This record gives sequence, structure tokens and C-alpha cells, in this order.
Amino acid sequence: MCLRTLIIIITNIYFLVSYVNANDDLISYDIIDYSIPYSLTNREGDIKNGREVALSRQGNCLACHKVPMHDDMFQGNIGPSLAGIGNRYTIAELRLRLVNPYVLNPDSVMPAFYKVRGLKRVDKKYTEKSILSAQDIEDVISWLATLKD
Amino acid sequence: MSYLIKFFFALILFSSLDLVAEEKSNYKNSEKPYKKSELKSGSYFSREETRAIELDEFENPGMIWVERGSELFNTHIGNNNIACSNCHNKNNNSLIGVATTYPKIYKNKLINLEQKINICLDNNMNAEPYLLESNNLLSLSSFITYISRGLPMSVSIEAEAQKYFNRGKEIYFERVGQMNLACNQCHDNLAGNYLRAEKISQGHINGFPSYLMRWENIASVHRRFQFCNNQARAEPLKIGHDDYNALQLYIAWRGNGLLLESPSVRR
Ligand code: HEC
Ligand code: HEC
Ligand code: HEC
Repeated sequence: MCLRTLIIIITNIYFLVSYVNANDDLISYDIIDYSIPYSLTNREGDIKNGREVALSRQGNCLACHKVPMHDDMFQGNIGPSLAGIGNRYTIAELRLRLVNPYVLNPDSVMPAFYKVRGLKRVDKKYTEKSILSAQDIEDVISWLATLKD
Repeated sequence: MSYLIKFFFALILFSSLDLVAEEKSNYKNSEKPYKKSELKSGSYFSREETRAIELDEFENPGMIWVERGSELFNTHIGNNNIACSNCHNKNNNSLIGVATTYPKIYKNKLINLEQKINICLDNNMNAEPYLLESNNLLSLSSFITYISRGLPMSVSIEAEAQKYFNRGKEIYFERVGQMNLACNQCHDNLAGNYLRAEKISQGHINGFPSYLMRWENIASVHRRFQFCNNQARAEPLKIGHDDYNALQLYIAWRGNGLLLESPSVRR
């Protein structure tokens, strides 16, 4: 009897601790009306760095998207062109698009750039890491917002 | 009471029959992503320059492995001092057409052509098996595949192969890695589109072993799987892994009917 109680207490503590840990590594956010209204960080997005992250291997947006005014010959066409994206979406909507596109389309091939849970067989180099940091995401969306027709 | 037991038995029996029926229907032809007329080999999607190199036997770098394989095939190897060609030749145990049937069940286990070659080295020649993905092994498999060039892929998914087939299909549709991508998302849904500079193909394996210009080397099917896993930032499996063989069987079946084109050339 005593042993059983002990086991229950220990497992409870274990789950409590792992739950806290799970929420620890990423900044939490609220999704409201298919958007994330509040910035993930308290620093303003840096447009120049955002462009760099998006066009480099880090964000790798060019694998799937065309980007206007960028003369890399090799741009993918899996997703829609990002031309005029700043007219079509608000910052809050763009933030959700990058953080967790599965809310909009569960089958999306666009990766969630800010997600670590619920992924299978992740390469050891990348476990427990999101593809982009919170600040990089803020930077990229502030750059996206400048892409206006 | 005994009626109740019989009733339960009947129930279990019927439900298991149902399961069998479902398993069978798992691989109806209609479930293939591509109808036979829509099947397109990878070379259909590759660039014209690359395809030209593939088709020119003098320029195709994969032919170096084929030639080396042909030499090895006729060389005495191992303690029995015997060559493959002593047992496998025009009149006896010919290997023409054999490559179209792999992966295949051998002693209750699914194995690929490279593993079968190693079994022959071990059992029939008293020789040390080659390391998977080694030059010698890929040379032999390139040669053996080459002599089936132009013949249609025809793997079997019946009997003992069925459970591997089901597993392979599962893997094909499973989203993995930091990018959370499954094979079907690119090779069924996006074939013909560009991922960066690369036109995505239907992901068939009728050109393997395949020469990859980026590595200046020949690659087995499993090596290519590792590469696609890497790109999704998923932990790749070991070459020769049961799950890769299962996946290879599923993909080979998807492309049954395509003509063997090895050694293919890709970027
Ligand atoms: C593996 C392919 C892939 C990558 C990499 C990718 N995307 Fe996407 N993206 C898509 C697809 C496909 C869509 C279309 C919507 C869907 O299917 O979810 C999309 C949609 C979008 C949209 C909405 C476009 C619209 O017109 O509705 C934005 C904005 C976007 N992506 C931005 C980015 C940015 C920024 C990056 C790089 C940090 C990026 N994407 C990387 C595939 C990708
Ligand atoms: C002593 C005779 C002998 C030698 C030498 C030999 N084999 Fe075999 N091999 C056989 C026999 C018998 C079979 C069929 C029975 C079996 O599958 O084990 C076979 C089967 C095979 C198969 C599978 C054929 C099929 O229908 O699936 C391949 C591939 C093969 N050998 C390749 C080789 C290669 C490559 C070498 C040289 C490295 C070699 N063998 C050397 C006797 C030999
Ligand atoms: C993000 C998209 C993507 C995903 C996901 C993906 N691949 Fe690929 N795959 C490619 C591209 C791009 C190529 C190179 C161009 C081509 O031949 O299709 C390729 C090539 C291949 C080839 C070589 C085809 C040939 O003709 O030489 C095979 C086989 C293959 N992939 C299998 C797989 C398997 C198995 C998976 C799942 C584990 C997978 N791929 C997941 C994009 C992808």
C-alpha cells in the first residue's frame, strides 16, 4: 500500500517535471483568429537580418518560394511566390504561418519553423531545436511585411 | 454457456477474416499513386544535359563501375578459388533478369541485391563478404543490374514479402525529421515541381545503382534514402536496415513495369 502511494507520487512528479520542461524551451504563444498577435520577443524585427535568414540556407525559403527582386537562378516553385506578401497578410498572420503552418493546413510541406514537439526521428544534430530562433522569426516576418507590390 | 463461447469464436474468426481481406486490398493496383501510363522514370525529370550523359555509354561515369563489376565477376575470389562466372553464365544459373526481382525474400527475410551477392560470396565461394556500399560490392551489383537493362521491374509482394511491403508503405507515408516531411509529400504530390534547382521526380529506383555527380560516386538505393532523410533532417537508418529494404520493396512495387535503366546519372 505504502509502496503504491510512493510510486504514484514519483510518477506524478516525473510527469509534472517533464511537463514544465516541455514548456520551457520555446516561448509560449497564443493563436487568435488564425494569427499570433504578440511578438515572440521584446526586440523589434530586424529587416536586414530577416532577409539574410530567409535567403540563406538557414531559412531556406528559396527551396520552395520565389522571392521578388532576388536574382538567384535557383528558386523553387512548391509554394506561392512571396511577391506582394506584405499586402496580403498582416504581421500577426505571417507569424502564425512561420511558427506553425499546420494550424492553417495540417498537410503542409512548409515546415513549422518554431516547433520541437511531436516530430519523429529527428536527426540528433537538431533534436530539441527549432529551425529558427524566436528572434530570427520576428526578423523574417518584418522583412516579409516589406514585400509589397 | 458453450453457445456463448462458440459465438465468440465465430466473432473472432469473422473479424480476422475481415482483416485478411483488408490486407489484400491494401495493394490493389488502383491504390498506386501512378497508373501504369503515368509512370515516369527519374530520367524523364532530369535535365537534358544530364540525360544525355546517362544515355551515352562512353560518357556515363556509372559504366566504370559496371566494367569493374564485370571484371570482378570473372575473377577468382575467396578460398574456393572460383569466380562468379563459373556458376553463373549463359548456360547455367544466368543472372539476366534477376535484378528486376529485388528486394526479395531469402530464407524468410527480405534482402536486396547487394546482400544477396554477399551471401553468394560467403556460402558459395568461401570468401569474405564485402562491406555494404563498398566499391567492390557496388561494382558487382552495378554489373548484375546492367545486364537486366531494358527489362521491366517486377518485384513480388506476395506471401512472406507482404509484411515488409506493409511496413515499407507505412514508412513512405510517415512524416519524419525536423522538417516533418514524408516521401509521398514530394514524390507523389509534387513531382514535376522545383525544389530549389531540382525538379522532383516520382522517386523511382529503376536507375539504381545510380551515379551522383555531386558525389562523383555511385550510390545504392539505401544511400539515396539516407540522403532524402538528411534533407528532411531526419535520423537516417543504416544501409542494409530491414526498414530500408521494406521501403525499397514498396517503392520498387510502385514502379513495377518501369524498365531498368541502371546506371542512371543524376545531379
Ligand atoms: C518545403 C517547402 C517550403 C519551405 C522551405 C518554405 N515554404 Fe512557405 N509555403 C510552402 C507551401 C507549399 C505553401 C502553401 C501553403 C501550404 O501548403 O501550407 C507556403 C506558404 C507560405 C506563405 C503564405 C503564402 C500565401 O500566399 O498564402 C508564406 C508567407 C510563406 N510560405 C513563407 C515562407 C518563408 C518566409 C519561408 C522561409 C523561412 C518558407 N515559407 C519556407 C512551402 C515552403
Ligand atoms: C559455387 C557456385 C556459385 C558461385 C561461385 C556464385 N554463385 Fe551466385 N548463386 C549460386 C546458386 C546455386 C544460386 C541459387 C541459389 C541461391 O539463391 O542461393 C545463386 C544465386 C545468386 C544470385 C541470386 C539469383 C536469384 O535468382 O535471385 C545472385 C545475384 C548471385 N548468385 C550472384 C553471385 C555473384 C555476384 C557471385 C560472385 C561474387 C556468385 N553469385 C558466385 C551459386 C554460385
Ligand atoms: C522535400 C522533398 C523530398 C522528400 C520529402 C523526399 N524526397 Fe526523395 N528526392 C527529392 C529530390 C529533390 C530528389 C532529386 C530529384 C529527383 O530525382 O527526384 C529526390 C530523389 C529521390 C530518389 C532518386 C530518384 C531517381 O530517379 O534517381 C529517390 C529514390 C527518392 N528521392 C526517394 C525518397 C524517399 C524514399 C523519401 C522518403 C524517405 C524521399 N525521397 C523524400 C525530394 C524529396
